Amino acid sequence: MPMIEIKHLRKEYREGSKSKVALKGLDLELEKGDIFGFIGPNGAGKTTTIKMLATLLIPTAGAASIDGIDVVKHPEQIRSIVGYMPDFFGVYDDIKVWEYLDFFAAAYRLPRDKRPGIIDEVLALTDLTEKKDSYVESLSRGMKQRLCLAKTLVHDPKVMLLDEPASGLDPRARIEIRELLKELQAMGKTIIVSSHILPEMEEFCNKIGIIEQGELIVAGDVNTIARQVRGQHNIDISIVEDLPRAMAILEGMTDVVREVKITSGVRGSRRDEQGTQADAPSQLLQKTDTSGRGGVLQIGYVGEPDFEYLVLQALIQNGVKVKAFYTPETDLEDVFLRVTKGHVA
Amino acid sequence: MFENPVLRKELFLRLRIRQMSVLSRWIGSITAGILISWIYISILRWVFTDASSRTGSDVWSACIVLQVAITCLLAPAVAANSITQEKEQQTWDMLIFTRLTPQEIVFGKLIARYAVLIFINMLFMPIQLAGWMRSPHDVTFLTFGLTEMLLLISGLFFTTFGLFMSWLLNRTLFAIMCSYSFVVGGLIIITSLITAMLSFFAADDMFTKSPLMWLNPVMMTYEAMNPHDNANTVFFLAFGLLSYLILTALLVWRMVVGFRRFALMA
Repeated sequence: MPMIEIKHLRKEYREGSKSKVALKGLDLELEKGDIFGFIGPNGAGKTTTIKMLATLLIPTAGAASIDGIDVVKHPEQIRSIVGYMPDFFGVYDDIKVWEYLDFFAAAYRLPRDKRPGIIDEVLALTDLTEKKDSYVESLSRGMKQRLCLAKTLVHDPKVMLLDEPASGLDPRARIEIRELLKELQAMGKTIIVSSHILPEMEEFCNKIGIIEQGELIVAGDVNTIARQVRGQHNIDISIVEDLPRAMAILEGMTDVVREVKITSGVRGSRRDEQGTQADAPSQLLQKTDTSGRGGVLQIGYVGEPDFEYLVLQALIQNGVKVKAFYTPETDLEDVFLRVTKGHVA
Repeated sequence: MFENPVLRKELFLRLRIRQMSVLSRWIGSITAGILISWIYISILRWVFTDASSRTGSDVWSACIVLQVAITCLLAPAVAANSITQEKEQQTWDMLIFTRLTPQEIVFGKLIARYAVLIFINMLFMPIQLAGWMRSPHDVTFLTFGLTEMLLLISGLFFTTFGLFMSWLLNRTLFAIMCSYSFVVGGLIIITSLITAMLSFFAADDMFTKSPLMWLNPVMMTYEAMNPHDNANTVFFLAFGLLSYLILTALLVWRMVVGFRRFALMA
């Protein structure tokens, strides 16, 4: 049974006599332990989806369940297994960090005698132990963000819904939040996280969904999506020597290799360098690397993922010395730009 | 009831003087204690030493008028920011996402705000009691009981109305304005104007027998303090106070029943 199951979820808002569709029949399934990155431009429907899962908005149509519990029929049960961190949140004034957490622990009906231990644990997890007796208004924005995350964790939820948890933070605070999310991932939590900071998303999300104008355009494994979008996925091959021969071999494998780029010795990709159409790889090689020695090639692989090894095998059998053969990190920004048009719902 | 986290937070966290140093807190507490004691002693000494037989009832009447004014002006205001403030500082979503029931949130907020009003009214109690003891013939037990009931019930109703407005609206300013419009504008001014207009076309006693007028807190206070005809006064006051209690119950019921649904639609 999927941990999160969303079927044809739809939300319409009334604006006078007209209705505005914020979400147009979203379908999604996430397994336990999945970290799902929810990506989309402002107004695409991310927050609406997260709020409906958090029982804070009633869907116009469709259904959603978390751990088999319907979010509309049993909101109380959902709130006991879900942690929700809104995109914009405030903190109570004149209250200390531990009092803030104690209030929410009590609100989640945790026994009084267990609360101090739980508060210490979440403070340690969010690296706020030293701030336990500080007033919340004295915390920096990053610390408040971590405090909100600590509050979200007090009742040990199975599922966490984090709406832009790193928005408005400086680079250090973003890194701290990212590290914290990695720890939560290691704890086996199922997390839906929306963010605009795409490079960070691809670091800890095993699945992503791109939403635009209330429609989920693509969803699934990051590499699979990249493959779907580009019709290929990239493989980096580090060659010790005889780069021209390696290129010739790869250019000959037209059934599985679509394009061959030199990434070492030439800054960035050809598209980056030239803007639009680039020279053929061999011409580029002649321009930039006439030594014939080693370098790094990037190929666009269009074959079956299980048969990538055939490319490596072909190179080795032809005497090319291969130092490394690997799939680089997916350029999520590139994927995002390719599938979205910049419209809002 | 004291296990209710909302009530505990409102009472124990928000009402305390936080950012002052321990020394400042001590100095502040001692100064306030001395000031209040001095006021009490001065008034009590005057009440018990003044030769006039009306002194006790005058002091008692002044206390009641002041308390009614405070109730009408303070009760809607103290409650009108209780939920809108949470909405404005963006803590509301997090609060309603917890496992707290609507009853816990509504009653927690209501009792905490009502407690402020009770506390202020309690400060008047020593002076009231002194006035009552000094003039037992002018301030009868019935009069004393009726006015206390009036203060308690009208305070509860106005506080609940303020809370209702706070639940209904998104801005504290609007909630306070609407609460004052209802209590001061509606219950005090509009009822008087309508009844005065009606009295042109009706019998002389229309003013006192108009049901609208018996919802007017000023009129109710006047009658409770001057029970010319005990039976009628008790009847009309009972009508007014019962109306207040029924309206209070309806408002609380509306908030509790519609709590999540309204929150979800907002």
